[in-house]
Amino acid sequence: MMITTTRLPAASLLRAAVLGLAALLAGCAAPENNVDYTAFRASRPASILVLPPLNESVEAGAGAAVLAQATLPLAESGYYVVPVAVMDETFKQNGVHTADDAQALPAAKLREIFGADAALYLKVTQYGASYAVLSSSVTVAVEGTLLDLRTGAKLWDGRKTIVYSSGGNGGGLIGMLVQAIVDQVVNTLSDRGFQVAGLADQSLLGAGQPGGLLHGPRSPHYELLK
Amino acid sequence: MAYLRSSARLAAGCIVVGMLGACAQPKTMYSWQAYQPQVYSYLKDDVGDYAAQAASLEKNVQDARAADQALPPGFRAHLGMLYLKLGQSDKAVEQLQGEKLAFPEATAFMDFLLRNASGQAAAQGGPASASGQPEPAGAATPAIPATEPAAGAGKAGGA
Repeated sequence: MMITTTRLPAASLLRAAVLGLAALLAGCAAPENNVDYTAFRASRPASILVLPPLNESVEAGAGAAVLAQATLPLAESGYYVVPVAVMDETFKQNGVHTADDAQALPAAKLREIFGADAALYLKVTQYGASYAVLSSSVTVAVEGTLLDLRTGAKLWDGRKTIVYSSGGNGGGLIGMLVQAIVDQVVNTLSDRGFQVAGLADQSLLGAGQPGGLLHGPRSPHYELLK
Repeated sequence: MAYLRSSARLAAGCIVVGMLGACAQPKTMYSWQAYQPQVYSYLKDDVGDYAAQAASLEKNVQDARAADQALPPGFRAHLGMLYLKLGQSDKAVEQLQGEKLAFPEATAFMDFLLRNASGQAAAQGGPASASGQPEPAGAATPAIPATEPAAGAGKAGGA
């Protein structure tokens, strides 16, 4: 549905300004009309179960990085988000050890255990760094599909790619962003991929952008549509 | 150039605001200090330092209280799970109940966990725990039974 690649070259201030403007507009504007939200509006989910992400990248830790940071954008968008590590533990203790197995479970069973209205099926398609002489870049690409666990209906899908390029001016802009969003993480987890995964989660799952998720009931922006 | 620089700074602020999905109020709904980093630590490490992870969350509780900010959804349940790992069942149950109270949407899952937590407490105290290892919480109430995914080859018995 939404295919957007967001490049964040720290060297290009102008580009950053354009991006910022776009983000500002996206934050305020209603989602575009060309995306069909009929099923989403009919479903009115209040709680979301984020299942362990499928991982098509070569980085084994990609799923954990994407899963761990999916709660913030969804919760700030107005949804209750089932505690992801508790979910993961529950799966493991019941013999469900892989993301593939978890995502293959029937909706009714997920609804019964976790009580969520909807489930988010994530897939990490790219996660990794490429290094060059003058600059290096880290890319994280994530796809998501939101299904209603009560009816099985598909409510939304989207994909986002974040490319963080360093070099030139260094990571000033991205540094500011990451610091604002994940606070102390930068100091404790020197894992650039983790930071970019957080940005990918933000851009994919933050409500109110064109083609993005609608706000949930706990958000002041929740649209009370018929 | 100075103009460009300040506009970039402004842009950075807007990106943050845009990402948090709240143009009018840049303040977040919840206190996000420790929850996601600790979830990441938990998911990443097979045998984590649960005491340190719990301490980090406890500090977040204090800070959120001081700033009059709400704890995120899942926070209390996650802390409860860490308490269970540390063998502190009473504190665990308190957190799971707290999650339910703060977020009624959590009721079904918390009730499921509370049933298991009491089962685990019994197993810990009972003569069955000869190995000294706490029983897995799922042992009391098999949760996700016999739904063998087609790709689940090599799994011995599943649930």
